[in-house]
Amino acid sequence: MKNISIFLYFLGLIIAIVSAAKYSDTMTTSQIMLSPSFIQGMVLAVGALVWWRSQIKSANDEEQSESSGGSPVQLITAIKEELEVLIKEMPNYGREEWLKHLTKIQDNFIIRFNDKRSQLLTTMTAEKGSDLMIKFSYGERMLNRAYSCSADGHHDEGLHLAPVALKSFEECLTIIKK
Amino acid sequence: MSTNTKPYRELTFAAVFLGIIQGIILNLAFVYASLKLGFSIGGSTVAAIMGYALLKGVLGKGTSIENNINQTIASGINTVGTGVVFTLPALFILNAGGEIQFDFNLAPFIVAGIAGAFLGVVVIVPLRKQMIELDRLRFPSGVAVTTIIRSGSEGDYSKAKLLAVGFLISAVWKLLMVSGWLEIPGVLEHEELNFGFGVIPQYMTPAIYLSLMNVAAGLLAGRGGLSFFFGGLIAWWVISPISVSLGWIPTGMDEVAMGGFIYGKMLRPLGIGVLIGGALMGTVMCFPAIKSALRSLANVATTNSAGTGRDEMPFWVLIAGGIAGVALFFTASYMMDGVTFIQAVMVAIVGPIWLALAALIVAQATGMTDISPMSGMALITVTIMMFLLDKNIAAAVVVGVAVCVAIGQGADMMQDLKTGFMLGGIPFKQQIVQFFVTWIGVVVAIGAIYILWQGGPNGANGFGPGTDLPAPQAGVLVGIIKALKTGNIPMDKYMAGGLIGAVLSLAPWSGLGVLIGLAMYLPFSITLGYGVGCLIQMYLEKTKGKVFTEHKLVPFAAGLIIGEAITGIGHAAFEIFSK
Repeated sequence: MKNISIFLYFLGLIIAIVSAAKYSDTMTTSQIMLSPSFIQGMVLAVGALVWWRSQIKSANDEEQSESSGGSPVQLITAIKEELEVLIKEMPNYGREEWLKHLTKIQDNFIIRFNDKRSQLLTTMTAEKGSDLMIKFSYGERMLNRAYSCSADGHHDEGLHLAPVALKSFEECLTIIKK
Repeated sequence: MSTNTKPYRELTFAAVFLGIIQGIILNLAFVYASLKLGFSIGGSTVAAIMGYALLKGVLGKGTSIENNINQTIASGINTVGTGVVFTLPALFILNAGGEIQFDFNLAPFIVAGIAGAFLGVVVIVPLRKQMIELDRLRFPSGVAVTTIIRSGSEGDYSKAKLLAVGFLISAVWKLLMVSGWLEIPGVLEHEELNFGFGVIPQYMTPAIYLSLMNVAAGLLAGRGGLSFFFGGLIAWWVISPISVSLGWIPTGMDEVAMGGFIYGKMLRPLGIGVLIGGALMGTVMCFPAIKSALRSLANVATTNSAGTGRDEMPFWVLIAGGIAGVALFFTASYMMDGVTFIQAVMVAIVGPIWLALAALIVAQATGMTDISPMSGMALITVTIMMFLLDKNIAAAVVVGVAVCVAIGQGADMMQDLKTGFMLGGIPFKQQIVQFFVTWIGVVVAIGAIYILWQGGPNGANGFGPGTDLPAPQAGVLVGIIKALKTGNIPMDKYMAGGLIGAVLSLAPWSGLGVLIGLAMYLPFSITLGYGVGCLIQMYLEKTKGKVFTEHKLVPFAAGLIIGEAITGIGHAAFEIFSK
């Protein structure tokens, strides 16, 4: 059903675009914009869009519950748990090992979360979703800074940033629970 | 390796000084190159490489995020030149042609340029969270610069090797292209491969731009850029044949002329409308998120939890910068002959509103595709201003300078902030340096243009048609201004395109309106090359996984972008000095 609504949406838009593209020295702006084919195309596109949007929320709810081991919430939880272990073990890590762990968090959780974030964001209000992403991005940026610090030889400063990032990911989970 | 216990260097005198010097040199070089060749190149990659060599190599203490400050300043000052060189020379050429009387008082243009430099940063800073943190726009050049900076500090050099391989392939390929050795008349010309072979009609523009930089932008965008590719397919492989088969094209044209007609009269104006409508609706849809971002800007603490100082530009600086920008806008337009007080007030209200929207459009387009629709925005600016200013061309170009500088600044700032995000830089430090130093680029670029003009025979006509510096971009704007004087404005296309763009941006796919509008506005050969990159990325991600594309494909694609950029600059320098 979702594919049909998307197909109708683009069909309507293509009809409208083709009608609007028609070149004429003699037709006025209103004659082109009020041409039957342009109006029909736009009406079809808007109708299909409403249908499409109504299908999205329920589909995302299903995806959220079906994602095995990789829903956005599970990924944030995994980042938090990984960082907690990392902070405990931090004094034992040399620069190379530390950079490897940061890369692992990036590859296994952060990239995957960013891919799947829309599943989560469409289930909350836009304002709550932005608050969540701003907190998540702050944590991610602090991990990026930790990486830069260590790679540039300021390893101690890099280690100091891990708890800052952890706090940010914890706040993400608090926002989700609210 | 022992740990460095000194404070982690970020905003330092060395980075600011080097950034300003590099910015001025790049600005002068690219203003000259733009007047000569008709295109400009972003300077971020050059600045990042030089920054690495000088801060780390010569001074021996540079860090990744310090180099990021250097490239932020250098590219900011350099980008201003692009905005000025696109607009101001048109006025000189029109004056030489007798179309207008221009007294060469450059003060209003400098004031307008500075207003644009301030406003470009002010309007884009509140959108950082939206574009980078929420929408996660790719900003291919920003990713490429990050890869350069990172490759200089990591112990593991595998990414640096991939970057170097990409660089070499792209540099050699670009050299082959510009040398013309591979050119075959009718098949491979001007870096475009025509694959029609007499089967596909030429009005469907069966050509692909053989730029590895273009393909690399697609490689970095992947699935996110696919709608751009589809937009091009709709424009050229649906609308174009339908228009021909339904007899909408004037008779007596050959297939190539039909393609030119469809592009100039139908697709390009419609694409501009779709771009504007798409961006406007996109902004409306983002209101809750922008509100949240603004609230976090207003409430931001002076020191963040990491102890790295303030994270975002203070809200009062944005407000003060906005007010100063509007006042400068008013001053610049009121200084022009024939502009009344009321007209200047209208310009000071409408100008910044349009400027903000245009900066948003260009930043989004750059973020998604690495391509800037600056010429389209300049066209709309001059159209609006000629209407408000009773066809006063010089005054309209003054506003055009401000808007082009601002949209260049906005896109560049966002690109740099993306690099900063990936390196873990503090956004405030990048924003504040760009805010306070990029006005230098306005003075340098306008000064350079004036001197080059005076360098002609009898102290005038130093550039323009028939000279060593033909100023092709200004020539395009001159053509547009002449068309506007005759009242030839495709309002139907703008309005209908605006409605279509709005409905596209209501779709649950982010940025659909802007991407499809941009695809209709650009030649198909560019869209096609970019689309090939998107498809390759999607195939590799499916077969090799996301980690492979992030760690192998991204540095390789970054190398392709840098290789073409650096070779392009080298070629421009060669062209200039060899003639």
